[in-house]
Amino acid sequence: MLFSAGLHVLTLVFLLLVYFVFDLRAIYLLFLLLIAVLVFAEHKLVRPDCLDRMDIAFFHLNSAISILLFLGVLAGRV
Amino acid sequence: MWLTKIHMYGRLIKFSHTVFALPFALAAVLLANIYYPVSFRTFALIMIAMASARSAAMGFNRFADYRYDRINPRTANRPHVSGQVDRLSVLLFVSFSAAVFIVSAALLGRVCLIMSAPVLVILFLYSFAKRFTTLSHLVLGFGIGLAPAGAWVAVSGALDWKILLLSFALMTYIAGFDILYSCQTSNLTANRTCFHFPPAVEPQKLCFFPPDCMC
Repeated sequence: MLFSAGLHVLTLVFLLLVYFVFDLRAIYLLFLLLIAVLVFAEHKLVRPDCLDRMDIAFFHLNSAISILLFLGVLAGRV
Repeated sequence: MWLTKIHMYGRLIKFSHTVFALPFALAAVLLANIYYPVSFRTFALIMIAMASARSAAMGFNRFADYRYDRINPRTANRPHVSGQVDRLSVLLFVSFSAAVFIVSAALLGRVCLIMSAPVLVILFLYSFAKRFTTLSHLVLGFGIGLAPAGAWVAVSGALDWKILLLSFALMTYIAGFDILYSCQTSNLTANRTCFHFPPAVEPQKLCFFPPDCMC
């Protein structure tokens, strides 16, 4: 879980760098915040001792995260 | 009849999971469009290339994992295991998808064509990497993470370091949740399908740096 969490922290760092490098509008950060909340929720939802909720986390949360990223870039383009 | 077949192949390759990487590739197109024009033709070819590369990779993964999927309760009802799609058909599906990917890459330009073969190799490599290294999660992430970079190259004709940030974001995102997801098959993988892991490791320990052999 720790390694996975570390990778997802890196994900958020890279997505933050995208904001600066492409000079996106501040609204992108709002979407990034939502993504961070969902990533956090995913790690809270999925525990090694409770794997039956994995599919819910895997499909719904990750779908939402990806779509939020796209919408964030769409809204944040100058 | 045709709809049933399409649905079956869609289940085989979990087409619905395309939603994870596709928005990243679309975001790359949007970012590239800040600097370069994007025609409908280019956009359509990028979508075709994305879908076909993913279909080839997932189909190949099913083909390579056949004997493991048979003994995994979670995957035992997949079409290639239940007999709804035979192994030869899976192989033909992979070949067709790979051919569509290469042709669409060729239509996107010379650089895309040159890069299409290495991309397929990397995508197929995952199916074997997970047999011998726990770093296979990163191999999967790297393969899928190429999507934004590929979309950028398709639009601009060259790679730019800036889009690699989005590729790294997708890579770490995919690798991270692949590790979480792999916990589902930890008992199976620890006992039977991955060669370099200690048997019967507790999920808590596996999830710190687990084996996978999933997907």
